[in-house]
Amino acid sequence: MLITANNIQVCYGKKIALNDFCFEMVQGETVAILGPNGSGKTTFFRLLLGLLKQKEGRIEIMDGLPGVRSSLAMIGATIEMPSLYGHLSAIENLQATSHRRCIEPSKHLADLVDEVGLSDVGKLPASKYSLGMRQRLALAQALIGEPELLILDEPANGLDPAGIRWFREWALNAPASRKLSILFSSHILNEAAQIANKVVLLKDGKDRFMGTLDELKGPNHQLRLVTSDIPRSQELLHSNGFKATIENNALLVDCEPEQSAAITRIIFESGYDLLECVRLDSTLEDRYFAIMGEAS
Amino acid sequence: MKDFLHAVKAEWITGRRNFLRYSPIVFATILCIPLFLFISERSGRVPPAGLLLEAVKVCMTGMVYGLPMYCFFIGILSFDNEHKQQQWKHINAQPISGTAIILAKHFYTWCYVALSPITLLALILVFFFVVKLFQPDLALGIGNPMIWLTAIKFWAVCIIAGMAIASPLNVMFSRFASYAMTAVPAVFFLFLHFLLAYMIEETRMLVSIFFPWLNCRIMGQNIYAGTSIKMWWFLPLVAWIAVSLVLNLYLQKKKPLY
Repeated sequence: MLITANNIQVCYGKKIALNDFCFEMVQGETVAILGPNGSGKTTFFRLLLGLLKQKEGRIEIMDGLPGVRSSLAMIGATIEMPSLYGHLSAIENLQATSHRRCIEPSKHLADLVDEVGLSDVGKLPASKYSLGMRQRLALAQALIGEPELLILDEPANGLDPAGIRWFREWALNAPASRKLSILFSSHILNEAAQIANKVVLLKDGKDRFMGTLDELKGPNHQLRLVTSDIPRSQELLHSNGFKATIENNALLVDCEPEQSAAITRIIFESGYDLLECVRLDSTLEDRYFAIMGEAS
Repeated sequence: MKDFLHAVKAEWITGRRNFLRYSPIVFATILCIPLFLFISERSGRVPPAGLLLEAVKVCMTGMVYGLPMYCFFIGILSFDNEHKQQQWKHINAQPISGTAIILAKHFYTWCYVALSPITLLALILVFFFVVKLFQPDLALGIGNPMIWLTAIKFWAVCIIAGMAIASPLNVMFSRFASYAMTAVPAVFFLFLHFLLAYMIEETRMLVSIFFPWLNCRIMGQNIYAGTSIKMWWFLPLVAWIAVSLVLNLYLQKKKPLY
Protein backbone atom coordinates (compact mmCIF):
# COMPACT_ATOMS: atom_id res chain seq x y z
CA MET A 1 0.00 0.00 0.00
CA LEU A 2 1.37 3.41 -1.01
CA ILE A 3 -0.86 5.55 1.21
CA THR A 4 -3.15 4.52 4.03
CA ALA A 5 -5.12 7.08 5.98
CA ASN A 6 -7.55 6.04 8.68
CA ASN A 7 -10.12 8.20 10.47
CA ILE A 8 -8.24 11.43 9.92
CA GLN A 9 -9.45 14.54 11.66
CA VAL A 10 -7.89 17.96 11.07
CA CYS A 11 -9.15 21.20 12.56
CA TYR A 12 -8.27 24.83 11.83
CA GLY A 13 -9.36 26.36 15.10
CA LYS A 14 -13.03 25.47 15.41
CA LYS A 15 -13.45 24.62 11.74
CA ILE A 16 -13.16 20.94 10.93
CA ALA A 17 -11.24 20.57 7.66
CA LEU A 18 -11.14 16.76 7.53
CA ASN A 19 -13.48 14.59 9.53
CA ASP A 20 -13.15 10.82 9.87
CA PHE A 21 -11.50 10.73 6.46
CA CYS A 22 -10.23 7.40 5.16
CA PHE A 23 -8.11 6.85 2.07
CA GLU A 24 -6.13 4.10 0.41
CA MET A 25 -3.89 4.11 -2.63
CA VAL A 26 -1.73 1.41 -4.13
CA GLN A 27 1.36 1.61 -6.33
CA GLY A 28 0.74 2.52 -9.96
CA GLU A 29 -2.69 4.05 -9.43
CA THR A 30 -3.79 7.47 -10.65
CA VAL A 31 -6.21 8.84 -8.10
CA ALA A 32 -8.28 12.01 -8.43
CA ILE A 33 -9.67 13.80 -5.42
CA LEU A 34 -12.70 15.82 -6.37
CA GLY A 35 -14.65 18.23 -4.29
CA PRO A 36 -15.79 21.83 -4.00
CA ASN A 37 -13.59 24.58 -2.61
CA GLY A 38 -12.90 24.11 1.08
CA SER A 39 -13.72 20.43 1.03
CA GLY A 40 -10.31 19.47 2.43
CA LYS A 41 -8.35 18.41 -0.68
CA THR A 42 -5.32 20.65 -0.08
CA THR A 43 -5.46 19.92 3.65
CA PHE A 44 -5.08 16.22 2.88
CA PHE A 45 -2.11 16.90 0.58
CA ARG A 46 -0.48 19.02 3.25
CA LEU A 47 -0.94 16.16 5.70
CA LEU A 48 0.76 13.74 3.32
CA LEU A 49 3.77 16.06 3.04
CA GLY A 50 4.04 16.57 6.77
CA LEU A 51 3.17 20.27 6.49
CA LEU A 52 0.25 19.69 8.85
CA LYS A 53 -0.41 17.33 11.73
CA GLN A 54 -3.73 15.57 12.12
CA LYS A 55 -5.64 15.84 15.37
CA GLU A 56 -6.78 12.24 15.18
CA GLY A 57 -6.18 9.21 13.02
CA ARG A 58 -3.13 7.69 11.41
CA ILE A 59 -1.45 8.14 8.05
CA GLU A 60 1.17 5.89 6.52
CA ILE A 61 2.88 6.86 3.33
CA MET A 62 5.37 4.49 1.73
CA ASP A 63 5.50 2.48 4.95
CA GLY A 64 6.56 5.52 6.92
CA LEU A 65 5.10 8.58 8.55
CA PRO A 66 4.38 11.71 6.50
CA GLY A 67 7.02 14.43 6.46
CA VAL A 68 9.96 12.13 7.20
CA ARG A 69 12.93 12.47 4.93
CA SER A 70 12.71 8.98 3.42
CA SER A 71 9.12 9.52 2.26
CA LEU A 72 9.66 13.11 1.10
CA ALA A 73 12.57 11.91 -1.06
CA MET A 74 10.15 9.71 -2.98
CA ILE A 75 7.39 12.30 -3.35
CA GLY A 76 7.22 15.12 -5.86
CA ALA A 77 4.55 17.67 -5.06
CA THR A 78 2.95 20.94 -6.03
CA ILE A 79 0.73 22.47 -3.39
CA GLU A 80 -1.73 25.28 -4.11
CA MET A 81 -0.13 27.80 -6.48
CA PRO A 82 3.23 26.98 -8.15
CA SER A 83 6.12 28.08 -5.92
CA LEU A 84 8.67 29.64 -8.26
CA TYR A 85 11.32 32.33 -8.05
CA GLY A 86 10.12 34.95 -10.48
CA HIS A 87 13.58 36.40 -11.19
CA LEU A 88 15.06 33.01 -12.13
CA SER A 89 14.79 31.10 -15.40
CA ALA A 90 13.19 27.66 -15.66
CA ILE A 91 16.54 25.87 -15.39
CA GLU A 92 17.65 28.01 -12.45
CA ASN A 93 14.40 27.29 -10.63
CA LEU A 94 14.96 23.58 -11.21
CA GLN A 95 18.59 23.84 -10.05
CA ALA A 96 17.50 25.47 -6.79
CA THR A 97 14.83 22.80 -6.21
CA SER A 98 17.33 20.09 -7.10
CA HIS A 99 19.68 21.31 -4.36
CA ARG A 100 16.77 21.47 -1.95
CA ARG A 101 16.06 17.84 -2.77
CA CYS A 102 19.75 17.20 -1.95
CA ILE A 103 20.47 16.18 -5.55
CA GLU A 104 23.33 17.65 -7.56
CA PRO A 105 21.79 19.34 -10.64
CA SER A 106 22.54 17.56 -13.90
CA LYS A 107 21.82 17.84 -17.62
CA HIS A 108 18.69 15.85 -16.83
CA LEU A 109 17.06 19.16 -15.78
CA ALA A 110 17.12 20.43 -19.37
CA ASP A 111 15.29 17.24 -20.39
CA LEU A 112 12.65 17.99 -17.78
CA VAL A 113 12.17 21.51 -19.17
CA ASP A 114 11.81 19.90 -22.58
CA GLU A 115 9.37 17.29 -21.30
CA VAL A 116 6.99 19.91 -19.91
CA GLY A 117 7.20 21.89 -23.14
CA LEU A 118 9.04 24.96 -21.86
CA SER A 119 12.27 24.65 -23.84
CA ASP A 120 11.35 27.67 -26.00
CA VAL A 121 10.92 29.95 -23.00
CA GLY A 122 13.36 28.21 -20.67
CA LYS A 123 15.70 31.20 -20.47
CA LEU A 124 13.01 33.74 -19.61
CA PRO A 125 12.49 34.67 -15.97
CA ALA A 126 9.55 32.80 -14.45
CA SER A 127 7.79 36.09 -13.66
CA LYS A 128 7.13 36.42 -17.38
CA TYR A 129 5.33 33.05 -17.51
CA SER A 130 1.58 32.64 -17.72
CA LEU A 131 -0.17 30.60 -15.02
CA GLY A 132 -0.23 27.60 -17.35
CA MET A 133 3.52 27.83 -17.95
CA ARG A 134 4.10 28.15 -14.24
CA GLN A 135 2.03 25.00 -13.71
CA ARG A 136 4.22 23.17 -16.21
CA LEU A 137 7.40 24.34 -14.51
CA ALA A 138 6.00 23.34 -11.12
CA LEU A 139 5.35 19.89 -12.58
CA ALA A 140 8.97 19.73 -13.76
CA GLN A 141 10.08 20.71 -10.25
CA ALA A 142 8.00 17.90 -8.80
CA LEU A 143 9.61 15.41 -11.16
CA ILE A 144 13.16 16.12 -9.98
CA GLY A 145 14.75 13.04 -8.44
CA GLU A 146 12.46 10.53 -10.16
CA PRO A 147 9.80 10.39 -7.41
CA GLU A 148 7.56 7.35 -7.03
CA LEU A 149 4.53 9.39 -6.02
CA LEU A 150 3.41 12.65 -7.54
CA ILE A 151 1.01 14.85 -5.58
CA LEU A 152 -0.48 17.57 -7.75
CA ASP A 153 -2.87 20.18 -6.43
CA GLU A 154 -5.18 21.20 -9.27
CA PRO A 155 -2.56 20.70 -11.99
CA ALA A 156 -4.88 21.73 -14.83
CA ASN A 157 -5.68 25.06 -13.21
CA GLY A 158 -4.66 27.86 -15.58
CA LEU A 159 -3.85 25.59 -18.51
CA ASP A 160 -5.32 26.48 -21.90
CA PRO A 161 -7.18 23.78 -23.89
CA ALA A 162 -3.94 22.68 -25.57
CA GLY A 163 -2.23 22.57 -22.18
CA ILE A 164 -5.05 20.52 -20.67
CA ARG A 165 -4.78 18.08 -23.54
CA TRP A 166 -1.01 17.94 -23.13
CA PHE A 167 -1.33 17.32 -19.38
CA ARG A 168 -3.95 14.59 -19.94
CA GLU A 169 -1.69 12.75 -22.36
CA TRP A 170 1.30 13.18 -20.11
CA ALA A 171 -0.61 11.93 -17.05
CA LEU A 172 -1.90 8.92 -18.96
CA ASN A 173 1.61 7.92 -20.09
CA ALA A 174 3.65 8.86 -17.00
CA PRO A 175 2.59 6.00 -14.68
CA ALA A 176 3.98 3.47 -17.17
CA SER A 177 6.96 5.41 -18.54
CA ARG A 178 8.14 6.83 -15.21
CA LYS A 179 6.80 4.12 -12.87
CA LEU A 180 4.80 6.79 -11.10
CA SER A 181 1.69 6.88 -8.99
CA ILE A 182 -0.25 10.12 -9.29
CA LEU A 183 -2.55 11.67 -6.73
CA PHE A 184 -4.17 14.86 -7.90
CA SER A 185 -7.06 17.13 -7.08
CA SER A 186 -9.30 18.81 -9.58
CA HIS A 187 -12.44 20.80 -10.07
CA ILE A 188 -12.93 19.54 -13.59
CA LEU A 189 -14.88 16.33 -13.28
CA ASN A 190 -14.65 15.10 -16.86
CA GLU A 191 -10.95 15.93 -17.05
CA ALA A 192 -10.28 13.92 -13.89
CA ALA A 193 -12.38 11.06 -15.22
CA GLN A 194 -10.22 10.80 -18.32
CA ILE A 195 -6.99 10.55 -16.33
CA ALA A 196 -7.79 8.79 -13.08
CA ASN A 197 -8.54 5.15 -12.54
CA LYS A 198 -9.81 5.81 -9.04
CA VAL A 199 -11.88 8.71 -7.74
CA VAL A 200 -12.44 10.12 -4.27
CA LEU A 201 -15.30 12.54 -3.70
CA LEU A 202 -14.73 14.82 -0.77
CA LYS A 203 -17.20 17.20 0.77
CA ASP A 204 -17.03 19.09 4.06
CA GLY A 205 -13.96 17.08 5.02
CA LYS A 206 -15.71 13.71 4.59
CA ASP A 207 -15.13 11.13 1.90
CA ARG A 208 -18.48 10.66 0.15
CA PHE A 209 -17.23 8.14 -2.35
CA MET A 210 -14.06 6.21 -3.07
CA GLY A 211 -13.84 3.75 -5.92
CA THR A 212 -13.20 3.21 -9.59
CA LEU A 213 -14.85 5.27 -12.30
CA ASP A 214 -17.15 2.38 -13.22
CA GLU A 215 -18.23 2.12 -9.62
CA LEU A 216 -18.90 5.87 -9.61
CA LYS A 217 -20.98 5.70 -12.78
CA GLY A 218 -22.85 2.73 -11.24
CA PRO A 219 -25.49 0.53 -12.89
CA ASN A 220 -28.00 3.37 -13.02
CA HIS A 221 -29.48 3.30 -16.47
CA GLN A 222 -33.03 4.48 -16.92
CA LEU A 223 -35.72 4.12 -19.54
CA ARG A 224 -38.11 6.99 -20.10
CA LEU A 225 -41.48 5.74 -21.33
CA VAL A 226 -44.65 7.56 -22.34
CA THR A 227 -47.63 5.19 -22.69
CA SER A 228 -51.36 5.63 -23.29
CA ASP A 229 -51.97 4.84 -19.58
CA ILE A 230 -49.03 5.80 -17.44
CA PRO A 231 -50.38 4.86 -13.94
CA ARG A 232 -51.43 1.38 -15.07
CA SER A 233 -48.17 0.86 -16.92
CA GLN A 234 -46.35 1.74 -13.69
CA GLU A 235 -48.36 -0.88 -11.76
CA LEU A 236 -47.64 -3.40 -14.46
CA LEU A 237 -43.91 -2.79 -14.34
CA HIS A 238 -43.94 -2.93 -10.54
CA SER A 239 -45.66 -6.31 -10.68
CA ASN A 240 -42.88 -7.48 -13.03
CA GLY A 241 -40.19 -6.44 -10.56
CA PHE A 242 -39.11 -3.10 -12.08
CA LYS A 243 -38.77 0.14 -10.15
CA ALA A 244 -40.70 2.81 -12.03
CA THR A 245 -41.53 6.36 -11.02
CA ILE A 246 -43.74 8.96 -12.69
CA GLU A 247 -42.06 12.25 -13.50
CA ASN A 248 -43.34 14.98 -15.88
CA ASN A 249 -46.05 12.73 -17.40
CA ALA A 250 -43.51 10.00 -18.16
CA LEU A 251 -42.40 6.79 -16.57
CA LEU A 252 -38.77 6.50 -15.45
CA VAL A 253 -37.78 2.85 -15.13
CA ASP A 254 -34.49 1.81 -13.50
CA CYS A 255 -32.98 -1.03 -15.49
CA GLU A 256 -29.89 -2.49 -17.06
CA PRO A 257 -29.41 -1.70 -20.78
CA GLU A 258 -30.14 -5.28 -21.81
CA GLN A 259 -33.54 -5.19 -20.01
CA SER A 260 -34.95 -2.49 -22.32
CA ALA A 261 -36.43 -4.97 -24.77
CA ALA A 262 -38.18 -6.93 -22.00
CA ILE A 263 -39.77 -3.75 -20.63
CA THR A 264 -41.15 -2.59 -23.97
CA ARG A 265 -42.48 -6.12 -24.62
CA ILE A 266 -44.39 -6.04 -21.30
CA ILE A 267 -46.05 -2.76 -22.33
CA PHE A 268 -46.94 -4.03 -25.81
CA GLU A 269 -48.33 -7.35 -24.56
CA SER A 270 -50.55 -5.59 -22.02
CA GLY A 271 -52.22 -3.67 -24.88
CA TYR A 272 -51.10 -0.14 -24.00
CA ASP A 273 -49.73 2.12 -26.71
CA LEU A 274 -46.05 2.97 -26.37
CA LEU A 275 -45.81 6.64 -27.45
CA GLU A 276 -42.21 7.34 -26.53
CA CYS A 277 -39.20 5.32 -25.38
CA VAL A 278 -35.82 6.91 -24.60
CA ARG A 279 -32.82 5.38 -22.83
CA LEU A 280 -31.29 7.73 -20.21
CA ASP A 281 -27.77 6.89 -19.13
CA SER A 282 -26.81 8.83 -16.03
CA THR A 283 -23.64 10.83 -16.63
CA LEU A 284 -20.69 11.13 -14.31
CA GLU A 285 -21.90 14.61 -13.53
CA ASP A 286 -25.34 13.29 -12.53
CA ARG A 287 -23.72 10.80 -10.21
CA TYR A 288 -21.42 13.45 -8.79
CA PHE A 289 -24.32 15.70 -7.93
CA ALA A 290 -26.37 12.79 -6.67
CA ILE A 291 -23.60 11.94 -4.20
CA MET A 292 -22.42 15.43 -3.34
CA GLY A 293 -25.73 17.29 -3.53
CA GLU A 294 -26.77 19.99 -5.99
CA ALA A 295 -25.05 22.74 -3.96
CA SER A 296 -21.65 21.28 -4.93
CA MET B 1 26.71 18.90 6.47
CA LYS B 2 25.61 17.66 3.03
CA ASP B 3 22.22 19.29 3.57
CA PHE B 4 23.87 22.53 4.60
CA LEU B 5 26.07 22.62 1.49
CA HIS B 6 23.06 21.96 -0.75
CA ALA B 7 21.10 24.67 1.07
CA VAL B 8 23.95 27.16 0.59
CA LYS B 9 24.17 26.29 -3.11
CA ALA B 10 20.40 26.80 -3.43
CA GLU B 11 20.80 30.20 -1.73
CA TRP B 12 23.55 31.08 -4.18
CA ILE B 13 21.31 30.23 -7.15
CA THR B 14 18.25 32.05 -5.81
CA GLY B 15 20.44 35.09 -5.12
CA ARG B 16 21.13 35.52 -8.85
CA ARG B 17 19.99 38.76 -10.44
CA ASN B 18 19.14 39.99 -6.97
CA PHE B 19 20.30 43.38 -5.70
CA LEU B 20 21.73 41.54 -2.69
CA ARG B 21 24.61 40.34 -4.88
CA TYR B 22 25.81 43.87 -5.54
CA SER B 23 25.03 45.28 -2.12
CA PRO B 24 28.63 45.10 -0.68
CA ILE B 25 29.96 47.14 -3.62
CA VAL B 26 27.13 49.66 -3.38
CA PHE B 27 27.53 49.96 0.39
CA ALA B 28 31.34 50.36 0.20
CA THR B 29 31.07 52.87 -2.66
CA ILE B 30 28.61 54.98 -0.69
CA LEU B 31 31.02 54.93 2.26
CA CYS B 32 33.89 56.01 0.01
CA ILE B 33 31.97 59.09 -1.17
CA PRO B 34 33.59 61.31 1.55
CA LEU B 35 37.00 60.24 0.27
CA PHE B 36 36.13 61.19 -3.33
CA LEU B 37 34.55 64.44 -2.18
CA PHE B 38 37.65 65.21 -0.14
CA ILE B 39 39.82 64.95 -3.26
CA SER B 40 37.45 66.90 -5.51
CA GLU B 41 37.27 69.70 -2.89
CA ARG B 42 40.99 70.16 -3.25
CA SER B 43 40.56 70.62 -7.00
CA GLY B 44 43.40 68.59 -8.36
CA ARG B 45 45.92 69.15 -5.60
CA VAL B 46 46.94 65.93 -3.89
CA PRO B 47 46.23 66.19 -0.13
CA PRO B 48 48.86 65.43 2.47
CA ALA B 49 49.09 61.82 3.64
CA GLY B 50 47.88 62.61 7.16
CA LEU B 51 44.66 64.17 5.86
CA LEU B 52 44.07 61.24 3.55
CA LEU B 53 44.39 58.78 6.43
CA GLU B 54 41.89 60.87 8.44
CA ALA B 55 39.47 60.61 5.52
CA VAL B 56 39.97 56.84 5.48
CA LYS B 57 39.11 56.73 9.19
CA VAL B 58 35.87 58.57 8.40
CA CYS B 59 35.01 55.90 5.83
CA MET B 60 35.77 53.09 8.28
CA THR B 61 33.75 54.74 11.03
CA GLY B 62 30.94 55.11 8.51
CA MET B 63 31.07 51.37 7.94
CA VAL B 64 30.83 50.63 11.66
CA TYR B 65 27.88 52.98 12.02
CA GLY B 66 26.27 51.84 8.80
CA LEU B 67 26.46 48.13 9.62
CA PRO B 68 23.11 47.97 11.46
CA MET B 69 21.29 49.52 8.49
CA TYR B 70 23.18 47.32 6.04
CA CYS B 71 22.35 44.17 8.05
CA PHE B 72 18.74 45.28 8.18
CA PHE B 73 18.74 45.66 4.43
CA ILE B 74 20.41 42.33 3.57
CA GLY B 75 18.24 40.50 6.13
CA ILE B 76 15.08 41.76 4.42
CA LEU B 77 16.40 40.94 0.95
CA SER B 78 17.55 37.44 1.79
CA PHE B 79 14.18 36.35 3.24
CA ASP B 80 12.01 38.45 0.97
CA ASN B 81 11.97 36.01 -1.96
CA GLU B 82 10.74 33.09 0.10
CA HIS B 83 8.01 35.13 1.77
CA LYS B 84 6.79 36.93 -1.33
CA GLN B 85 6.83 33.92 -3.61
CA GLN B 86 5.37 31.52 -1.03
CA GLN B 87 8.39 29.28 -1.06
CA TRP B 88 8.32 28.02 2.51
CA LYS B 89 5.69 25.32 2.01
CA HIS B 90 7.57 24.17 -1.08
CA ILE B 91 10.89 24.09 0.81
CA ASN B 92 9.33 22.25 3.75
CA ALA B 93 7.99 19.58 1.41
CA GLN B 94 11.53 18.75 0.26
CA PRO B 95 13.79 16.12 1.82
CA ILE B 96 16.19 18.63 3.34
CA SER B 97 16.40 19.57 6.98
CA GLY B 98 14.86 22.88 8.03
CA THR B 99 17.90 23.47 10.24
CA ALA B 100 20.16 23.43 7.16
CA ILE B 101 17.90 25.90 5.35
CA ILE B 102 17.86 28.36 8.26
CA LEU B 103 21.60 28.02 8.87
CA ALA B 104 22.28 28.57 5.17
CA LYS B 105 20.22 31.77 5.25
CA HIS B 106 22.24 33.07 8.21
CA PHE B 107 25.51 31.98 6.61
CA TYR B 108 24.57 33.77 3.41
CA THR B 109 23.89 37.06 5.19
CA TRP B 110 27.12 36.67 7.19
CA CYS B 111 29.02 36.30 3.92
CA TYR B 112 27.70 39.68 2.80
CA VAL B 113 28.58 41.15 6.18
CA ALA B 114 32.12 39.82 5.76
CA LEU B 115 32.37 41.00 2.17
CA SER B 116 31.35 44.61 2.69
CA PRO B 117 34.38 45.69 4.85
CA ILE B 118 36.71 43.78 2.49
CA THR B 119 35.18 45.65 -0.43
CA LEU B 120 35.62 48.93 1.43
CA LEU B 121 39.27 48.20 2.19
CA ALA B 122 39.85 47.14 -1.40
CA LEU B 123 38.27 50.35 -2.69
CA ILE B 124 40.42 52.43 -0.33
CA LEU B 125 43.51 50.55 -1.52
CA VAL B 126 42.61 51.19 -5.16
CA PHE B 127 42.07 54.83 -4.28
CA PHE B 128 45.52 55.01 -2.64
CA PHE B 129 47.19 53.49 -5.69
CA VAL B 130 45.50 56.05 -7.93
CA VAL B 131 46.72 58.85 -5.66
CA LYS B 132 50.23 57.35 -5.75
CA LEU B 133 50.15 57.48 -9.55
CA PHE B 134 49.79 61.23 -9.41
CA GLN B 135 52.27 61.79 -6.60
CA PRO B 136 54.73 58.90 -6.31
CA ASP B 137 56.61 60.56 -3.44
CA LEU B 138 53.57 60.72 -1.16
CA ALA B 139 54.19 58.58 1.95
CA LEU B 140 50.89 56.83 2.65
CA GLY B 141 52.38 54.17 4.85
CA ILE B 142 50.86 51.29 2.91
CA GLY B 143 54.01 49.30 3.52
CA ASN B 144 53.64 49.75 7.30
CA PRO B 145 52.51 46.45 8.90
CA MET B 146 50.57 48.39 11.58
CA ILE B 147 48.24 49.76 8.92
CA TRP B 148 47.47 46.24 7.74
CA LEU B 149 47.02 45.01 11.32
CA THR B 150 44.51 47.81 11.85
CA ALA B 151 42.73 46.81 8.65
CA ILE B 152 42.52 43.17 9.77
CA LYS B 153 41.24 44.23 13.20
CA PHE B 154 38.70 46.47 11.55
CA TRP B 155 37.53 43.60 9.38
CA ALA B 156 37.32 41.22 12.38
CA VAL B 157 35.28 43.75 14.36
CA CYS B 158 32.97 44.39 11.42
CA ILE B 159 32.34 40.73 10.71
CA ILE B 160 31.71 39.70 14.35
CA ALA B 161 29.61 42.76 15.10
CA GLY B 162 27.80 42.46 11.77
CA MET B 163 26.96 38.83 12.47
CA ALA B 164 25.67 39.78 15.90
CA ILE B 165 23.50 42.50 14.38
CA ALA B 166 22.29 40.43 11.42
CA SER B 167 21.39 37.29 13.36
CA PRO B 168 18.62 38.68 15.61
CA LEU B 169 17.29 40.73 12.69
CA ASN B 170 17.22 37.54 10.58
CA VAL B 171 15.08 35.83 13.23
CA MET B 172 12.49 38.57 12.81
CA PHE B 173 12.72 38.62 9.02
CA SER B 174 12.34 34.85 8.82
CA ARG B 175 9.27 34.71 11.03
CA PHE B 176 7.25 37.59 9.64
CA ALA B 177 6.35 37.99 6.00
CA SER B 178 5.02 41.51 6.48
CA TYR B 179 7.48 44.38 6.22
CA ALA B 180 5.61 46.36 8.84
CA MET B 181 5.83 43.54 11.37
CA THR B 182 9.58 43.29 10.94
CA ALA B 183 10.55 46.83 10.12
CA VAL B 184 8.83 48.54 13.05
CA PRO B 185 10.62 46.66 15.87
CA ALA B 186 13.89 46.57 13.91
CA VAL B 187 13.93 50.31 13.20
CA PHE B 188 12.91 51.02 16.79
CA PHE B 189 15.81 48.84 17.92
CA LEU B 190 18.28 50.66 15.67
CA PHE B 191 17.14 54.10 16.80
CA LEU B 192 17.38 53.03 20.41
CA HIS B 193 20.95 52.00 19.72
CA PHE B 194 21.94 55.32 18.21
CA LEU B 195 20.22 57.16 21.04
CA LEU B 196 21.98 55.10 23.67
CA ALA B 197 25.30 55.28 21.87
CA TYR B 198 25.28 59.07 22.17
CA MET B 199 23.60 59.46 25.53
CA ILE B 200 25.19 56.76 27.63
CA GLU B 201 28.92 57.04 27.96
CA GLU B 202 29.71 55.75 31.44
CA THR B 203 27.48 52.69 31.41
CA ARG B 204 27.95 51.74 27.80
CA MET B 205 29.86 48.58 28.64
CA LEU B 206 26.87 47.27 30.59
CA VAL B 207 24.41 48.37 27.95
CA SER B 208 26.54 46.80 25.24
CA ILE B 209 25.60 43.35 26.52
CA PHE B 210 22.07 43.99 25.30
CA PHE B 211 22.93 46.09 22.28
CA PRO B 212 25.68 44.51 20.17
CA TRP B 213 25.97 47.64 18.04
CA LEU B 214 27.54 49.45 20.96
CA ASN B 215 30.37 46.91 21.15
CA CYS B 216 30.96 47.44 17.50
CA ARG B 217 31.27 51.16 18.06
CA ILE B 218 33.52 50.83 21.11
CA MET B 219 35.80 48.38 19.36
CA GLY B 220 35.85 50.54 16.25
CA GLN B 221 36.93 53.57 18.28
CA ASN B 222 39.67 51.52 19.92
CA ILE B 223 41.04 50.50 16.56
CA TYR B 224 41.28 54.08 15.32
CA ALA B 225 42.74 55.24 18.64
CA GLY B 226 45.38 52.52 18.36
CA THR B 227 44.40 50.96 21.71
CA SER B 228 43.96 47.22 22.06
CA ILE B 229 40.54 45.58 21.90
CA LYS B 230 39.49 43.85 25.09
CA MET B 231 38.51 40.33 24.25
CA TRP B 232 35.49 40.25 26.56
CA TRP B 233 33.74 42.69 24.28
CA PHE B 234 33.35 39.84 21.84
CA LEU B 235 31.44 37.75 24.38
CA PRO B 236 28.07 39.54 24.18
CA LEU B 237 28.40 39.54 20.40
CA VAL B 238 28.98 35.79 20.23
CA ALA B 239 26.17 35.29 22.74
CA TRP B 240 23.82 37.30 20.52
CA ILE B 241 24.74 35.19 17.51
CA ALA B 242 24.28 31.92 19.43
CA VAL B 243 20.97 32.93 21.04
CA SER B 244 19.58 34.12 17.70
CA LEU B 245 20.54 30.90 15.92
CA VAL B 246 19.14 28.67 18.65
CA LEU B 247 15.93 30.71 18.75
CA ASN B 248 15.51 30.58 14.99
CA LEU B 249 16.14 26.83 14.83
CA TYR B 250 13.80 26.20 17.77
CA LEU B 251 11.02 28.25 16.15
CA GLN B 252 11.54 26.42 12.86
CA LYS B 253 11.17 23.05 14.62
CA LYS B 254 8.22 24.18 16.73
CA LYS B 255 6.33 26.04 14.05
CA PRO B 256 7.86 25.67 10.56
CA LEU B 257 7.61 28.61 8.20
CA TYR B 258 4.87 28.41 5.58
